[in-house]
Amino acid sequence: MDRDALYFHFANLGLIIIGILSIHKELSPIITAVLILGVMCGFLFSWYMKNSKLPHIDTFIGMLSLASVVIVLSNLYEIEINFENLLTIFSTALVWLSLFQSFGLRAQKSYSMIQFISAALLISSVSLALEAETVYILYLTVFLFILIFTMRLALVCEKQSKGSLIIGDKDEVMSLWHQIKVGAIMFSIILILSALAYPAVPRFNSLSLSWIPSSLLNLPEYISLLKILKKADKTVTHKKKAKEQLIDGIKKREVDKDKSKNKEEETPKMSEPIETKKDIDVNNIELLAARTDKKETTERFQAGGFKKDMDVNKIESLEISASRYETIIGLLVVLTAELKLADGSALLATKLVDWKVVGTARVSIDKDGNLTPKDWGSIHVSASYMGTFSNELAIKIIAPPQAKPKKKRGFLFYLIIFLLLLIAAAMVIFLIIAFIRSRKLAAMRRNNPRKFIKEVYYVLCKAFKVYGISKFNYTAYREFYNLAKELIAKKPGPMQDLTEDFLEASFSTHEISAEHTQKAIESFHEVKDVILEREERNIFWKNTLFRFCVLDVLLVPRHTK
Amino acid sequence: MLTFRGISLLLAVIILLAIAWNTDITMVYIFFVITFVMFVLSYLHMRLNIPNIEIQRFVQETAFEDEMLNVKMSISNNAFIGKSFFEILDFFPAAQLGKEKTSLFILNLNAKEEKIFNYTIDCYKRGIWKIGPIEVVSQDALGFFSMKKTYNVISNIIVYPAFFRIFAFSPLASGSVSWMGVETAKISGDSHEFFGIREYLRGDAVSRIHWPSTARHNKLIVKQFERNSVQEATIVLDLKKGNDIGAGRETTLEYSVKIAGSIAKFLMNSGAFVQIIGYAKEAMIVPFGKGESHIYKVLEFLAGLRSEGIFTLSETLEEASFITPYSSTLIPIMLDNDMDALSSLVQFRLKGVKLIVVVLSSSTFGHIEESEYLDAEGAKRFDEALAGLEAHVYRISKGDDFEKIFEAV
Repeated sequence: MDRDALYFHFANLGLIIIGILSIHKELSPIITAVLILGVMCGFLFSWYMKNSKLPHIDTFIGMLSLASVVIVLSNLYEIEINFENLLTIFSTALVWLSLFQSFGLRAQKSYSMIQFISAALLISSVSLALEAETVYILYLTVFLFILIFTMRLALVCEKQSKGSLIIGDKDEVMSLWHQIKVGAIMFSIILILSALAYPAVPRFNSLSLSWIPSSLLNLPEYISLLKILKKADKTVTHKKKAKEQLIDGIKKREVDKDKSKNKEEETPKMSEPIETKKDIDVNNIELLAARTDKKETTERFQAGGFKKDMDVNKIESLEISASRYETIIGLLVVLTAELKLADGSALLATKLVDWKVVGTARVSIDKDGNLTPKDWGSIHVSASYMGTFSNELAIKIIAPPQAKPKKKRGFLFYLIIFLLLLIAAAMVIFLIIAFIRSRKLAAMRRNNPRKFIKEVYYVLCKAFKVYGISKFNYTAYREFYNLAKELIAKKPGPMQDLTEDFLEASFSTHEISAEHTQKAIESFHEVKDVILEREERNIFWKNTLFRFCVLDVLLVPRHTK
Repeated sequence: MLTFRGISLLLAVIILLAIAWNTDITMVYIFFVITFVMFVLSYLHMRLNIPNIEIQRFVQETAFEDEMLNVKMSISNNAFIGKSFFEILDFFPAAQLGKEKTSLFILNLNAKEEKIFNYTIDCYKRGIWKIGPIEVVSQDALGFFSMKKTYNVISNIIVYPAFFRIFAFSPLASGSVSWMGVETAKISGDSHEFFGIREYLRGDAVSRIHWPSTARHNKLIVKQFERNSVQEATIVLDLKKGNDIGAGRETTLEYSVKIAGSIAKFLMNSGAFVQIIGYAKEAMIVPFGKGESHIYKVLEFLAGLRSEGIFTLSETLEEASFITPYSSTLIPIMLDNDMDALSSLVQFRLKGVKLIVVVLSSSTFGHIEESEYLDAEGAKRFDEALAGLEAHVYRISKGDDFEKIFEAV
C-alpha cells in the first residue's frame, strides 16, 4: 500500500466521523463517542493488517454486521413507527455498518459504498436539523471538502487495485498538497456556483398545483396510502410549529389557571385532569369530553362568494375533505369542498359553500375554508351549496400534552463523555502533530540531508525505548547498536548501516546528498520491518506504540523524484 | 455514461429534492443545490476532459506462448488544454480470460505534450492475433461520469505455441532411398560411401565381391556401401469442429498442437523430414522439410490452427495416405474414442508405414457427448485394434507432465 492509499484511507475515516457527528443528536453522547473511537480504531486496525489477511476476518465482520442489523431491526417491535424513530434506526444501522465495514477495509479497496453511506447519514441528519443549521453548514462544508479529496484519490486507488498501470508524474500529481490545492479549487467553484443557483431553486411553497387535473386531485380519496399522506403534515416546519403551539398552549393554560380560579367554574372538570395528569392521552379525548359534560353546539359559516353562471341542475354531488382529522387548539385545518358536475368534471368550491359545524368544540372557518380550533372537543363539519349537501367530516381537537422533563444525568456520565472526547481529541491532535512533523522532515530531507539523517536516527533511538532499550547521553552510537542488536538479531545489517549513515552525517565534512538520505530512509524502513516482524508474546501493544513513535518518519515519502 | 458513483449522486440529488420539498428546510435546499451543481459540473468537466489524442503502438510481430511481450506506446495530446485522469484500455485477445484489456491510467497530459511509455502483456494463447482497438475512457475529476472513445490502432502478432523438451522418441522408420531433387554434377567424386565388408550371402551381386579380402580369408567376401536414405515423418492432426474437448488452454487441440510442435522440432533437430497435415476448412499442409526455416513454418502453421474443420480424422488420414511415402513414419494425434481413425490406420500398416500413435484421453479433458463415450467393451476393442497395428503408443491425459512421458522410448 502506498502513500495515496494512506491518505485515502484516513480521508474516508474523516468522512465517516463527520457522518457520525452529524447524527449525534439522534444518538446518545456515549454511543457517539464510542462510535467515533471505534471507527478510528477500526481504521487503524485495518491499516495495521493491510498486508496480511487474518484468518476468518471476513466471517467475523459478516457476523458482526448481521448481528448489528438484527439488533437494530428487533428494536422495531418495541418502538412506535414514526418518522423520527425510523430515521434513528436507519442512521444507527448505517453507523454500525460503517463501523464494521471499517474493520474490513484492506489495501486499496474501493470505499465508494462507505462514501455513499456517509452521504446518506448526512442527508438524513440534515433533514432533522431544524435548530442548529449553522453547525450543519460547517459539517456540510467539511464533508464536501473531504469528499472531493477522497473521490479524487479513490479514482487512482481504484485503478491501482484493478491492476492499472499509472502513467504520469505520480509524486507531483498525487502529492498531498497538490490534492488539497485541486480539491480547494473545486470546492470553491462548487460553492460559488451553488450560491448563484440557490435563489433559482423552486421551493415547495412556490409550486403551483393548478396544472394538475381536478380528476387527479381526487385520487387521494380512493387510494388509502395517498389518503394518509393527505392527512399528514405537509412539512416538518409545519409540525414543528404545531409542537411549539402545543407547548405555548400548556403554558398559557397554566398561567390562566393560576390567574383566575373563577374560570374553573366555567370549565369545572377540564382543569382538573390537566393539573393532575398533564400529558393527556389523545385517545381519551372523547371520554374526557363526556366527563366534562361539554354541550354540543351548532355553528354556521357563510360562503365568501357565489358563482352566478353555475347551473344548479348540473351539480351531482358535493364532497368535502380536510387536511387533517385530528388537530390541536390553534392549529389550522384546511377544508376543501369540491362540486362534482354531471359531465364528470369537478369544480373546486371551497369559497362557494356554506359550512356547518356541530360539536363540543368552538371553531371558526374563514372564507378560504381554513378551520381554526379554539377549544378542545370533537366536531362534525358539513357543507352545502344551493341545496346540495356534502358528506360529513369528523374532526377531533385535542388538548396539548405536556413536554416530558429532561432526565438529569449523573456526574459519572459527564465524566465518561469528557474522557472519551478527551481521548479522541488527543488522538486527533497527535495525528495532526505527526503530520506536520512529517512535512517538516520531508522539507528537511530536501534542504538539509545531514540534519534529516540525524533526525531519523534520533526518532528510531527514541522509539527503541518502547522495547526497553534506551540511549543515554553517555552511550556511544556503536555501543547503542550493540545494545539494540538483541532486538534486531534477525537482521542487524540495516541498523548498522543506519548507525554508520548517522556517524557519516554527524562527523564527515564531505557533502551529504540525496543518495545518502535515500539510503538512510531505506535502512530505517528495513529496521522497522525487522522489529515489527518479530514474533514474541504480548508484543502487539509495543508494536503499536512503536508505530506511533515513528509515525512522523513513516509519513515521509520513501522515494523522491 | 453515469458510473455507479454517478448514479449514487443522482439518487442523492433526487432524494434531497424530495426531502427538501417535504420538510422545507433551508439546509436541505442548500445541500440539494450543492449536489446538483456537483452533478452538472462533473458532466461538463467530463465533456471537457474527452481527450483529443494520437496513439501509436510499437510491438514485435512474433512471440511465444507464456512470453511477456513488451509494448511501447506513444500518446500525444493535440488539444490546447491539458487532459487528466483518463484511462487507456488496450485490447489483446491472446491474454488470459478476463485480462484481455490492459489498463493504463494517465494522470495528466499537458497541452501538446507527448508521452512515451512501456508496458508488458502476457501472451497466454497461441494464435494469429490483432492487438487493438484502443479504448480511451475519459471521466470527470470525481468519477461521476465516464465516456468511451475507440481508436482503431491495430498491430498484428503471431503467438507461437510453447513447446516442451523431448528427451527420447520412438525411432522412426529407417526411410526410403530417396534421390528426390538430387542431380548428377559433372565433377569427379564418390557416389557411394564405403561402409565395410561382410561374408557373401546368396543373392549378392558378383560385382560386389571384394577379391583381395576373398583371397586373404579364403572365402567370398563382399563390399558394403552406406545407404542413402531419408527419415520422413508425417504428423496428422484432428481439426474437426466439435472434437476439441476442454476449456481454455486445457483442450485436446491445444495439447495436440503442443505435442505436434514439440515432436516436429525434436525430429527436425534429429535430421528427419517432417510434414504436418490437418483439415480445417480446407486442407492445411506443411510439406516435408527440415532446418530452422522449416521449424518456423511449422510454428506459424501451428499458431494458426483452429478446430473448425468438417472432416474427421479418419477422412484426414484417407487424404494423408496419398502423400505419406512408403517406409516413412506416420504420427497421428487422436482421441481415445475414435474407432474410425483406427480403422483408417490399417492401410498405412499395409503400406509399410511405421505408426507412432499419440492417444489423448478424451474423458479427462471434459464433458463429451454420451454417444461418443466408449463403454468397457468399446475401450477394449480400441486397445486391441491399437495393439493390432503394432504401433508405438503414447497415451496422454489432461494435466500430464509431457517431459516425463517423452523422457524415454
